[in-house]
Amino acid sequence: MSEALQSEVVETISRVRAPRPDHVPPDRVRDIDMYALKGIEEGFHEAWKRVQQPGVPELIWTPFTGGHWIATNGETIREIYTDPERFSSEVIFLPKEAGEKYEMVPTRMDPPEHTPYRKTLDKGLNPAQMRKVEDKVRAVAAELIEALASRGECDYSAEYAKVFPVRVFMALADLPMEDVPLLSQFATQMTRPDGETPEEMAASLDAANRGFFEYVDPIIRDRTGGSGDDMITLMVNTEINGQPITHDKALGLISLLLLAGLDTVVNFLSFIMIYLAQHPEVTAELHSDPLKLMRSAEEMFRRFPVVSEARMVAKDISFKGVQLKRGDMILVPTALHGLDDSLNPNPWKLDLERRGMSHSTFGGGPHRCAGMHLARMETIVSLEEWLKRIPEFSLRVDAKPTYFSGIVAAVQNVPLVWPVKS
Amino acid sequence: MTQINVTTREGVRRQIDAKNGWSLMESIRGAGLEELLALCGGNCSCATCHVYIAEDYLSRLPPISVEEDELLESSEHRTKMSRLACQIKVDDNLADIDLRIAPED
Repeated sequence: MSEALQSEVVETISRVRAPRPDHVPPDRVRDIDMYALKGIEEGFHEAWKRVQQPGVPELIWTPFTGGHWIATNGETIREIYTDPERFSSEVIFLPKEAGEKYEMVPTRMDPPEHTPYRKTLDKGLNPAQMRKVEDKVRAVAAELIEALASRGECDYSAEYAKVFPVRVFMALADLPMEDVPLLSQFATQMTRPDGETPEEMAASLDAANRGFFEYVDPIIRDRTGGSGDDMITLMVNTEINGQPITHDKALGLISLLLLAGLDTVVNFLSFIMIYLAQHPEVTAELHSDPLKLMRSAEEMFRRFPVVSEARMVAKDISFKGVQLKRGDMILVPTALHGLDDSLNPNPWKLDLERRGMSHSTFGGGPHRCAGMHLARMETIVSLEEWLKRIPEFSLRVDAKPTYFSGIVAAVQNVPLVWPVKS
Repeated sequence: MTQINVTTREGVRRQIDAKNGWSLMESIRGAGLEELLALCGGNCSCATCHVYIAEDYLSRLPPISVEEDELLESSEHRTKMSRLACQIKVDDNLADIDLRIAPED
């Protein structure tokens, strides 16, 4: 089912509600459906921000998506991310039924098991590695934008944001571009799975997870022992605690690489451009000062978080005034950290001079996003190459971007227009 | 204010009045030494505020976190004097500290 169609269906059905467990106080209950946020048509961040009303408890509970807690402010989100002993990564996707089918590696591991796998990921994604591939990434951006510039208009989401990070990623992993539609389909079913009940969503996610595994299986076999310098060869030939990585774990690790590289920056870039199209003074500031542009990426990460993962309560504890039971799920929407007024005054403003910004856009603790250096480089390179050719642009007057919420937020229909010299 | 001494990549030593409570990174950048890129603005996520701290001051600094250690590890220019300037808050303890901006990776 297409996403547009899916969101229409969601609005017309009443989503399944889980009964409130005895340990959840009635005054903590709010109706929040992470896959169909109220007010999503106004914008993804705007919709999440509705939850962060003055006086809202730090932890609330919703009966939707299998029934789960939600952390509602930046401090709570940071605390949960950085304390794996209380807040485990045993299950990280909601609904929990779907999260239990998720078999990517090492996102569901806790330290110390997690540590050597993380080091393997870092090997292909650390800042030193990123500096080596920057020219390649820049060439991809330049080629795409060059082709658009003389047209005076484009759908940024479909023609750039959806293409650029994926093309970069496929190049770094040395995979053929024609496989992209299939992989994108799997990625969507992982982060915004079809289905109206937790069971249906679990089935969608499970199928996508298996799809990834079947796709990477022959590639891993082929590149094990190989000497290529692509990211996959680099990772499948590393050792875990002195032993070659097992095939099972390699399936999960390489699949994670594809999932994370295909669905996050894609959506993040569109959010940036929607904002810049409506704030020409910020665009001009970025265009006039190359250093400021490079330093702006972090503030953009703060302003436009896209991920909403969960953690599983590892043991019975009391936290933020409520009792939590082992196995309870807590959603940690990163939007509610970067946009928290108490940590980032005037949070809606993309403030290029902001001091001491606070966000969890890449998560935190042992699982902090291994791809953050790639994300930063892709953001800076995209903006540089775009502004070099298209320094002034705006949203087409009839533009109506479509937003989707889920584990990764999505946005489509971002028509941009700009003057073209004849 | 605490006075600190910063040596640029070209070897020019400059005295800077650093604001207590701010990070070393902010103080260096605030003094106009833009060669310290400090891309991430202090979130310990980019490794572009790499500095060398004079040895006798190293022990006065807060310990290196796991995140800082991993980022420093990705630099080709790491030495035992390496720190990320964004992770060090200025206070009286750092009076007259000598530090040098590390080469660009």
